[in-house]
Amino acid sequence: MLTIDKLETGREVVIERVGGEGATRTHFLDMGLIPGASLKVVAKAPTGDPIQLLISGYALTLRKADAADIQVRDPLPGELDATAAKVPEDEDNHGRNSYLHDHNAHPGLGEGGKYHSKDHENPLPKGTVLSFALAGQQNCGKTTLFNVLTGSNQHVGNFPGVTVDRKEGVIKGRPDTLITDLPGIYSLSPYTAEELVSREFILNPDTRGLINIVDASNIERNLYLTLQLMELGVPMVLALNMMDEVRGNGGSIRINEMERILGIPVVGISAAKNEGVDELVEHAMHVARYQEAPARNDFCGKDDNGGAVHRCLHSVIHLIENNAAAAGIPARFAATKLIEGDDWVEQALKLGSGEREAIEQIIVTMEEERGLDRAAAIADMRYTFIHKLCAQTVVKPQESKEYRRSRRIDKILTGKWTAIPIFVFIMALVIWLTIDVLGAPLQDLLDQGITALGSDVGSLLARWNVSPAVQSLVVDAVFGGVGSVVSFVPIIVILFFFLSMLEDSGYMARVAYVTDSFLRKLGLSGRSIVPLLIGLGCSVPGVMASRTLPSARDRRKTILLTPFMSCSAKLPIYGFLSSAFFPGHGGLVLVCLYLLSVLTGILVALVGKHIDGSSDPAPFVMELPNYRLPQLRNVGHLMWDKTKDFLQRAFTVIFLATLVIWFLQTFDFRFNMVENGEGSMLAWIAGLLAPLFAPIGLGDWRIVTAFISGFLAKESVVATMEVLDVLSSLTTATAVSMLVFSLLYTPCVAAIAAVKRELGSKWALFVIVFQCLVAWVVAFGAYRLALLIL
Amino acid sequence: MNAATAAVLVVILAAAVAAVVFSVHRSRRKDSSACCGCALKGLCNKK
Repeated sequence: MLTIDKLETGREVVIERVGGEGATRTHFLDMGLIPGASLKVVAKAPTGDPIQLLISGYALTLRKADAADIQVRDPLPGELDATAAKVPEDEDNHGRNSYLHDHNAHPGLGEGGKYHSKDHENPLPKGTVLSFALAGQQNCGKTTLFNVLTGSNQHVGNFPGVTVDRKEGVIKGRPDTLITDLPGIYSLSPYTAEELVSREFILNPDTRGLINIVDASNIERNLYLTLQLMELGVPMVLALNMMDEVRGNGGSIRINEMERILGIPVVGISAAKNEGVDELVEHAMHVARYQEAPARNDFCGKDDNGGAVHRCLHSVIHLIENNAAAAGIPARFAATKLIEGDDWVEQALKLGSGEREAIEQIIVTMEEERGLDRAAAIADMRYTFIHKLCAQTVVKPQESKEYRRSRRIDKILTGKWTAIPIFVFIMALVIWLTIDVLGAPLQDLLDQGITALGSDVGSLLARWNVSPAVQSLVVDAVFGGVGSVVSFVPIIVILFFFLSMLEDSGYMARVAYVTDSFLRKLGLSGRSIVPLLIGLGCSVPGVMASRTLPSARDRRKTILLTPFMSCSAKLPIYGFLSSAFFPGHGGLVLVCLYLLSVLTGILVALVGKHIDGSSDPAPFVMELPNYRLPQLRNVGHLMWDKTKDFLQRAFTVIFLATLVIWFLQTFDFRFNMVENGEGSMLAWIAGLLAPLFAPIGLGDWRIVTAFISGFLAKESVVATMEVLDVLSSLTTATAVSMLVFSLLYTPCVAAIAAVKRELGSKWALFVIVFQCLVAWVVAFGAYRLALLIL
Repeated sequence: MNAATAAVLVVILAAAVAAVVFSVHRSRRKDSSACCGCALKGLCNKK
């Protein structure tokens, strides 16, 4: 029995049977791994696992263990060149649309003028907000289109699953619209948390229309979702994105023909070049305003493979018609999901035991007649329709130049002996360039400017006879605190510049592919690397990015480990203490700290895996996007977003925290001013906690205060240290301890809020307590070691 | 308290109030670029 895991690189085969079970198997089928499909093994990761496959013109990665579930055979002579038969058009549409018969006419769906018949129109009342969902598979350009449509600056990446939360906006020049950018989904079978979010949103009755964006250069797999969306009966428009790439590679798509066969408006666009977007909006507005549902929602041919699936589907539709209407779910959609074994749909339909038995009998009969199990039969039905549709309407280029280029680059970046050294080199280079080469000089420059300004303002206040307390408030709290944090803007911006370059180029997806076998040993998935790397920038998006992980267990583990990755907001702490205690060795200190955080994370993961006692993590099924030159606009947007975010935090949360800390450390409980903070309210509060920190050499109330302020925002630690003059109380050994504790202790309140949102209050509380404990233990060790060595 | 001290204090207090209002606004807006309907609605360009 030949399975994919046993294939050597370069071998081309045909899938015979897809094994596995549950959601994973459904996902295999959704991704086009169906019986009869051909595939080629194009590469293997450095450790031989995962495997990279080429299927339907796109690259897919699969672990060997999962690949062992897919049986294949050598292709029969001429089998790979076989073309699909002609599509059985409109035979199931009962003659609803006469234009479907006229091959030459422009269908004019979703258009006004002569194409719009007023006889059957059903317009929404004037003033109704047209709420659209922007749906599509991962990495097909949804967020790029969203940005073009709304004029917003949402982050766009070249990695499947960049959008992890819904984003809303108003279409430019259309104030009565609201468009929601949904996370990428491969089908409407709930496989990941983001697929559930998207599915629930689309099924919401407030959604007036759908804009389904597909990657035209990978159209067959993308249309798989389109067919399921059409089954929902919601007015929709199909946007064929990246048409410029298709044309550039010698391909073409007969758009009118596709529109005629599908029965929905089809518009060719290039979201990145803003081509065809106005036409898309016009069509979307029209179908939503007049509630024009897709003319076709039936994709099973009467004669396809004996017609078993067709008979089964229509029998089930008739059986559940009333239940589906009562549940508010389109009958056709409910029937296919019921056959696929979707629990959510089955519960929503509230079927009686007799109906359930009858349906089961129908499905079993279909399985016997078709020779495929239920899920594979439905997937095969959809792909059969898609292949026929594409045979009639799509002229595909043999192999895109983007793909050829990616293959050449991958030979080095994911090569057996080169992948890991290059990854380590790239990450080290990013840190070195960020901190030592570019960041430090710019930061010094900004710091000098802020200090000079603070000194000038201080002199001015003194000349105006402003009271010493208020002078201290302005000079120490505002300029000393907020100013010192602002001076770190260059480092943050440069770090995000490099991270966004790596992501936008498509390299991040390769890092996931290359590191999967290592991360699996820690009980994680290769996809976990992305949240962890994003966590180097900020834990909040890192925690949110874990939503792309299909398994709840992998997701939880990744979320718990993400805060161990040192976020960029801690850089000011490292810079501040390094320049004071390890001048000229800032880069080395930083590399040591990053290594320590990674090692601690690995240790925690191993302990977690041991306690958890779980078996292998969820399957690693991921699409590898083609490499592309990072788009300056995307990188610029991300840098601007991060700078804005950092400055907003500096002048809001950090400003307020600085004011509160200044107030508490300047006055006692009788509101008398105190000297040097001694006897202040803050000294008393922090003094209560200080004994806990004494064993790690940090039993000074001022240090404890800095840690407390760091819970609000890590940037505040340096501000508080400045205001309270913490440096004077530190030695080199205690500085080491402080660096280590700052590296590992609880993430800021924003990150905790993100953990709470993803995992609930109990886990959020666990993160706070657990990280403080780990930080204390590691800082204790580091402090004792430093006392011995230094 | 002289006039200059009072003036500086007023400026800092106004900035603190603005920071609180903006923080609340920001947390309510979340990821939406559409109007959140909060007290700053009048300053919003979106309907």
